[in-house]
This record gives sequence, structure tokens and C-alpha cells, in this order.
Amino acid sequence: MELTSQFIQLIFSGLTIGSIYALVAIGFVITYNITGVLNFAQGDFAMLGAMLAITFVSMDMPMGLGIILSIGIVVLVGGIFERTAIYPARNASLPTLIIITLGVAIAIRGFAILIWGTQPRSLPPFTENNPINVLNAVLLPQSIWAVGISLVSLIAMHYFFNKTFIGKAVTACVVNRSAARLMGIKPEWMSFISIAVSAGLGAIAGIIIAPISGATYEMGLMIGMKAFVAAVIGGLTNAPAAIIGAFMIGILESFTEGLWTSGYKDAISFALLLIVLFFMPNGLFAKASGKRV
Amino acid sequence: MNHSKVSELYNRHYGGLFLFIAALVIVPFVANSFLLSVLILVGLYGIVTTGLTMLMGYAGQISLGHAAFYGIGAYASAVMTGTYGMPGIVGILVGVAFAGTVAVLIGIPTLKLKENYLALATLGFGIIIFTFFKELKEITGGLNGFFGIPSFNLFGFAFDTDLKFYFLIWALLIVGILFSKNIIDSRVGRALRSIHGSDVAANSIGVNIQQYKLKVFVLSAVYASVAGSLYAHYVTFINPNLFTAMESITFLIMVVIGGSANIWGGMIGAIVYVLLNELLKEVVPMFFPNVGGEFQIVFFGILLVAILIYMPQGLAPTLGKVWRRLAGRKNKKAAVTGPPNADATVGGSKS
Amino acid sequence: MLQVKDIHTYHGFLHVLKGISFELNKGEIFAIVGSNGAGKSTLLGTIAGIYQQRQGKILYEGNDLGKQKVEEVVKKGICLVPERRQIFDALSVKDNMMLGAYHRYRQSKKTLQQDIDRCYELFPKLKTMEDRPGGLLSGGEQQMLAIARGLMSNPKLMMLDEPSLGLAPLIVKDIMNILDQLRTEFGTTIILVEQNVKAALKVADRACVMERGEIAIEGEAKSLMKDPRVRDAYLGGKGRTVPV
Repeated sequence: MELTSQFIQLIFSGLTIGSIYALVAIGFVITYNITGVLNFAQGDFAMLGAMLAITFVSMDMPMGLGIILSIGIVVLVGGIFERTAIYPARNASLPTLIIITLGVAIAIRGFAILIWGTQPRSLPPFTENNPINVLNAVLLPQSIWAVGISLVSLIAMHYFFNKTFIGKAVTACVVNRSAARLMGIKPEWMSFISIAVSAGLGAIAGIIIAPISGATYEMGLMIGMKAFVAAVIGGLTNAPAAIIGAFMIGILESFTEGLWTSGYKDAISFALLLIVLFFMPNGLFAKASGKRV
Repeated sequence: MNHSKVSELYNRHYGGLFLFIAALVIVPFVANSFLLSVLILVGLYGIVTTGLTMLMGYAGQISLGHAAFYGIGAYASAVMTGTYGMPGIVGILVGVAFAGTVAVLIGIPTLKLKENYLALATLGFGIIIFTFFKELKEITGGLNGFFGIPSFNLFGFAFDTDLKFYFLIWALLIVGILFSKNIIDSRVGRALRSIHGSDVAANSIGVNIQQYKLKVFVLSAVYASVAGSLYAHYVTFINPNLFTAMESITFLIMVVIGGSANIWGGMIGAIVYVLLNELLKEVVPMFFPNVGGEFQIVFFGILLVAILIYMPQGLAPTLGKVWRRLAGRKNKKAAVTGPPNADATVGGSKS
Repeated sequence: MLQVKDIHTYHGFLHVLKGISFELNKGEIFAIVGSNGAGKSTLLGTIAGIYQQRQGKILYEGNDLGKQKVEEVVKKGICLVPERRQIFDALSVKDNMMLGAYHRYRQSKKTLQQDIDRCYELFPKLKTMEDRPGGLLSGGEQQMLAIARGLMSNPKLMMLDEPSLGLAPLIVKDIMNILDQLRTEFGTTIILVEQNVKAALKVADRACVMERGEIAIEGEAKSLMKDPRVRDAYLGGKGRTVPV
């Protein structure tokens, strides 16, 4: 394969995986902005979404219905998570809240083992998956689905937080919590909404990656951690910056894997995390960041 | 102070401890070999979690990468004694030096920051170290693992049976706990406890809180490394999957179960965790015959959340009460302040 | 319409309000003046439901507000325009106003738009900048926005905490005029907390002076203006020096 086509190939796969990270990273940012919690269960919502979709499809349910149903269930799980684990501990310290989300993450993972076992599973591609040739590089339709669905979801999120009344109320809560309270907005209700929405985003990410790299009970860990790196690169509060961070990580990974070795791919992403934490703790784009969802 | 008062003080602080040590000495002689190996594991975990308990309870920080320090100790000892045939103590010291240095390097930039960035940095660091264990195949043996680590040998004395090893580990654990207690009860430690870990208040009374936090973090890394070294000698075979992020989380689970507000919490958590884990492995397959993998984590995940919400101080304070009642029956005053000390309530939860 | 009966509020161990009582008639402007730390903001916060009093009662239109939270108090028609305006700086002027009507957002868009238009009549300047982020407005514009946002909740009782803070005298005058207009045209009852005593007493019907958590003087605004104690302490007058 010649160099330019390999280059394009790597960009394609970087964008595909980056779009998955972006969805999960946005979930992190939304949750962090509204609750101040670093939600380590975010990646496990992706796993849950993927596993549920696989189960429904294997039960001969139409794919579209199965996917929507899975997203719905994960949104519900997100809501239950907020009510049972975050809300009762809302006055606890940050370390406590972090450990609580870790607890939820491993509980979800454990349930997945009990229900689906430890074997990897896979979801059929959304449409026929004949490779398309673009500039001598191979592009799978599922990758287009992945990037496309992510972009649509991100635009939908933007619309939700900036155009709808309830979304604006969430944003108001992030911008100025005490003033929002004076308007009669309940921050607790807003955090419920945003965690449920974030869970849904995670589920979408899991479902679109499942046909590409399969699904296992522990997939949430790595997806979550990578998305986390993306969110930190964006300074944790800035959604557009987190999306850019997610695509950066995706492309960095695909190039490390393609040009060097897959073994160090994870180490490179997390080395980037450490560099950002040590030298730019407010994120790569600190200057440009306003506190917007 | 007259003589009887001195002996009373003496009783108050050490009466319970002597009873506890007596129990530790007797148990291995009545335990079967399985129980003995479980107790050794508890002791090793206990050393790690004692360090983590200090970090969480007294510096208000969490680490998601202590399995990496544990692994650094394990691989340092494996390579030094297994590959180069050095004495066991060299392996431990190399591990300690390495783990300590890394902890300083991570701690200095992150402990300055307000948010809980140490958690994030240790998480990233843990995964990087795990990758190195996996990929530096010439040194570590990669995913195939490192075989043939000799048993621990200290100045000519070989700890080559489980019984000898048991005493080594538990002696070390007790020394470790007492040493930590000493630091917590130091001037700085007490000052921090009195102000409930608030940075502003600490600065206003002139306590260098960052330095204290760094010290505690480095110490906890050293504890983990030493435990890792001994673990490698004990099992004689290690591989990278023993030192994953999940293992770091397991350490955290133990600390939360025991409770980070009390220095004995780490040890208590390790005991409870290991015993529960063994129990679950026996019981759950009776109901789910096809279950495989680490299914127990469901239970521990829920337990973690439940404890943090309903019992944020963990088991230690409750057990401490029972303990004092048992240990201090003869001396009424001992019932008030005997060990394990329960006055250390700080850190983990915000007032 | 509002009766505050002997309320005591604490911040932790700090006894901030030490038995405040006053009564408010419908459609009047009641000014509360006093120095920093007298407990004025805490008093408004207690009425608004941000803080809970440990003792005493607040009766609103004959009903006890009890231990109700902010959300419920807002629904009853009491709104607080907070100190330092607290605009949602990342949101547009119009969105800020919309959120003021949060508790009745299920009402038709038409009603909301009518209310917004009504506010624009009061503050024509806001209409010209309705899409601008609130954070880019000047101090006076932000104060107007804060009042407009408060009006969007359809309040019967509006409480303003230091609306003149940091504003130029001309703008202060504008704002006071608007308060006067609110009372006469909309029949809104207003509690005005101010450090700018002169401006506050000018617009108010009745007023009180708060000192260390207690009401020191209460009466008609006009008579307070003449009261030598008030003149000495707050209006820079040269009279007898009597401690308030």
C-alpha cells in the first residue's frame, strides 16, 4: 500500500474511533458541568448499550427498534444511577463521589458477566458492509455510520442545550447555580436529566462501535478512560474542546497503531493525559474555553 | 505522674494491641494451609491498603494507580533476584526507589491542583506502567509472565515456608500501621485532622499542606511497592494482568470497606474483602452454574456504593467499638480510648 | 400581604437575624437600609426560601410559607432579584428572560412572548440586544435584565438586593423610576434592600433601618429621611451624633 493511501486509511480509522470517544467524552463533560462528578461509569453505559442491542437483534427484533430500545433502557439505567447513587451522596466529597461512580461501573460490569458471560460478542453492521474505495484507501460503510451518527448526536446535543427550554435551564444551572435556583430551577432535577442524557450518548457510542470491534463486558473501561483523556484535554468543562480532544486521541491512536505498534497505543494516549495534567491543567484550549455546555 | 497512672496509660494504648498480636501468633498454628495462604494475601493487601488509607483519610486524595506501584515492586524484585541473582533486599530497595521517585514526579504537579487530579494522573500512570509490563518483553516476559522468582531471603534467612512468610508479612504490616499512625499523630497530621483537610484553613495556620500530602502519597507508593516485592517472592510467578486498573480499584474497595477515617481500616478492609471474595466464589456458582470471570465485582460494586452512602466511615469505627468492649473489659478507661484509635475521623467526607 | 413575625436565622453558629418583624401592604415599596453585615441579604434569602429560619413565621397572603424551598416560593409569586444581578452570562438576553419564567414554561409560547414584550416596553434597550450574551452587557443593562428576568416569573412581591450597586447615579435614578412604575402600573409590591439610602428612601413608601440583625428604626420613608439618626449615619447630614 502506498504511503498516501495508508495515511488516508489511518485518518479514516482515527475519525471512526474518535467519533466514539467524542460521544462518551461529551457525556463526561455534561455530567461534570452539572454535578461536578467525574463519572467513571460513562464507558460502561456504552458497553450496556452494545450488549443490549446485540441481545435484541439476536432475538430477531428489527435492528432499528432494537437499537432505540437499548438506548432507552440505558437512559433509564442512567436515571436510576443518578437517583440511587449520585443524589443521595450529593453533599459528599469529590473523592467519595468518584469512588461511587467506580462502584457503579464495576457493578454494571459484573451484571454484564452474569448475563452475557465473558465471551466477546458482535453486532451485525447497520447496512451491507462492502468496502468502498476512496483514494486507494478502504472505507467501510459502518465507519460512515459511526461518524455520521456521532455528528448527528452531537448536533442534537447542541440543539438541546442551546435551543430547548429545558436544555437552557440545564445550561443556566451550569453557568450560575444559585441564580438558577432563584428562577425556581431545581439543580437536582437538572443533574438527573443530564446524567440520563449522558448515559444515552454512551449507549449510542457502544452500539455504533459494536459492529466494528465487537463488544465485551469490559469494553467500557477502555472507552471510558480514553474519552476521559479527551475530556481532560478539553479542560473537563468545554464540550467542543472535548470533541476536538476525542478526535485527536482517535487519530493519534490509529497512527501509533498503523506506523509503530499496537502495544503502546494505550500508553501514548495516557502519556498525553499526564502531559496535559502536568503542564496545562485547564486543558489544551484553556483560553478559548467559556463555561458552556 | 505516679506509677499506677503510667501503667494505666500503658494499658490503654497497648493492651488491645497485645491481644491482637497474640491472636495473630496463634492463628497460623491452628489454620490449614488454605487459610494460611489467604491470610498471607490479606497481609500483603493490608500493607498496600494501609498506605492508601492514609492517602484517602488523611490527605483527602485517591489513587487509581496503586496496582502499578505494587507491580513496580513485584517486577523490581523479580528482575533483581530472578534475572540477576541479587539478594532479596536489593529487589525491595530498587522497587522502593523506583516507586518513590515516580510518586514524587506525579505528586508534585498534581497535588498542587485543586481538583482531584491525582486520581486522574495515577489512573493514566497506572495504565502506562501496565503497558510497559506487557510490552518490555525482554525484561518482564510480557503477557507470558515472569517465572521462577526465588523465595525471599533476608541476610541468609530463607522465608521458604508459608508459616515463615506469614510472620514476615504480618510483622511488616503491624510495623507499617504503627509507623503510619505515628505520622498521622505528628504535629502536621494532627493539625490537618483538626481542620478537616481544608486547604484554606491549613494555609492560614501555616501548615504546608501540599508537602504533607506529597509525603503521604510517596509513603503509600512505597508501601505498595514493598508489598509487591514480597508478593512476587511469595507466588514466584507474576504477569501484567495482576496489576491492572481493576486491581487498583480493588485496593480502593478494601479501603472503603474498612473505612479511611481510621488507620486500621485498610487492614480490616483487606480481611473483609478477601474473605468475602472467597465466600462469593464458593456460593455464587451454586445459583449461576455457568458463571465465569470476575462475577464477584457486581457484589463489590454495589457494596461500595452502599457503604459510601450509608456508612461513609466504613466498618472500622463499628468494629473498633466492639473491639474496645472486648479488649477493655478489665479496664474501664480502656473502653474509652483503647486501640484501634477511633478519634481519627477526617478526610474522606466533607463536613 | 406579607407578615414577617419574629424570625431568627443562623448561618452555622452565627446568629444573623435576631427577631425581625415587619408587615408589608399590597402595592407598596418597602426599603430596608443598613450597613454591611446587618443581615439584609439574609432576610431576603429567608423570605425567598434559600435559608430556613430557626424560629418565627413568614405569612404570605395569610398562609405560612413554613419551610418551603425556593422553587415553591417562586411559584407563589415571590421573586428575588439577587445581589450582583447574577445574570446567566453565557446565555442571551432573551434566554435569560425566558428562564425567569421557568416555573411556568409549560404555558404557551404566545403567553411567554407577550410577557417578554411587556418587559421590552419597560426596558426598550433590552429589545435591541436580545440575542447578545448577558455577560457582555454593561452593569446598568445587566441590572435591567435582572429585573426583567424577575418580572417574567409574574411576581406579586419582588425583592431587590442592592440594585444600585456599582452603577452610575443617572442609571440608579432610571432604575428607581422603573420600580416606581412597577408599583403604579402593575401593582407589584416591592422590598428594596439598598446601601444607597438616599435613593431608596426617595422611592420608598415605608422603610426600616437594620442594625446587627435587628430592626432599629421603622417608619414612613419621608419621616425617616428627616430622622436625625438616619441623617447622621447614612445621609451624611450634620446633626447631633446619636448612636443608632
